[in-house]
Amino acid sequence: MAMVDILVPDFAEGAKSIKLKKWLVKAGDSVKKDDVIAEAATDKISVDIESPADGKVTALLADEGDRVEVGEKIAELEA
Amino acid sequence: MDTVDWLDLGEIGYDEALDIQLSLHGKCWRGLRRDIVIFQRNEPLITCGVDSDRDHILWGDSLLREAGIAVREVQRGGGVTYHGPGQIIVSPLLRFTRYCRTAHLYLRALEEVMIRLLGRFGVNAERVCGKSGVFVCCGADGRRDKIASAGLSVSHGVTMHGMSLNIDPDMRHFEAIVACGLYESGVTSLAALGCAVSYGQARDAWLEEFAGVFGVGVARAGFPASTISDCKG
Repeated sequence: MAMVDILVPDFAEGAKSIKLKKWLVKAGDSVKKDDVIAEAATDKISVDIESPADGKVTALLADEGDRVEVGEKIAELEA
Repeated sequence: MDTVDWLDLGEIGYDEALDIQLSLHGKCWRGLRRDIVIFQRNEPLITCGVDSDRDHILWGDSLLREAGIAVREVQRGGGVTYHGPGQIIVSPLLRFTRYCRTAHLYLRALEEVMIRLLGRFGVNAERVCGKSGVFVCCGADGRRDKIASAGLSVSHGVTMHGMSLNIDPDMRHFEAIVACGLYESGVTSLAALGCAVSYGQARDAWLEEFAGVFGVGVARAGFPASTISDCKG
């Protein structure tokens, strides 16, 4: 078992702000690599955040509506 | 040099075009096909992106119904936008980090394609600081009216949606909305600026400028636009 951090992707860098719009999973859910687990949005660009690995979500670290930063850890996964 | 395919769906229902876009997007991010740019024209339609304020739809249901304008929620960035006949809508499905380091640089590059396209037709277009899309200075007061709108999404590293350019749409339909939430800007079109440009001319100019800005070759996709079923599944 390994803990995997789920981060706001760095390609969103340069956005005035990034808002976490919606979680599509909750703690305890099993996910597959590439599953979309959250939706975020910057000015004019919506961004899906995908799971980097198969595993179980252990914690969501940001709330819907929160402003988040590029590279910020927003969830943890037990892979 | 990478080659990007292009596909012109022509006049097509928005929902059908979106299904095709989603199907091709899935193939792109799974590595089953190369990047592709989709062109289309839609029926009159208001799309609401993820940051939409419903107060920016100014007409009530009955007025919208009379004008034949439908409303759709869409998973793309930005606010309320109008699409309809007389526009060209271009949706690049690109693994964009091959060309631009960030999503916002990609958006700026798409705007650059539109600015160069408009320059070909003698229209001096520009960006406006702090706003997305492409604008033209209209009138002595220096007001800038929007001629091309942008709204994108990124999923699995591949872009969807894109930009629309007003060629000769029914400008009365824009009165139904506050386009992209910009109260201070109007909307204009190539026709309103006295430029007679066809849909095909706009598409071909876009492709040539896209190839230059992104440093790619472009090739018509290997299935005819009329064979929509080839694009699905």
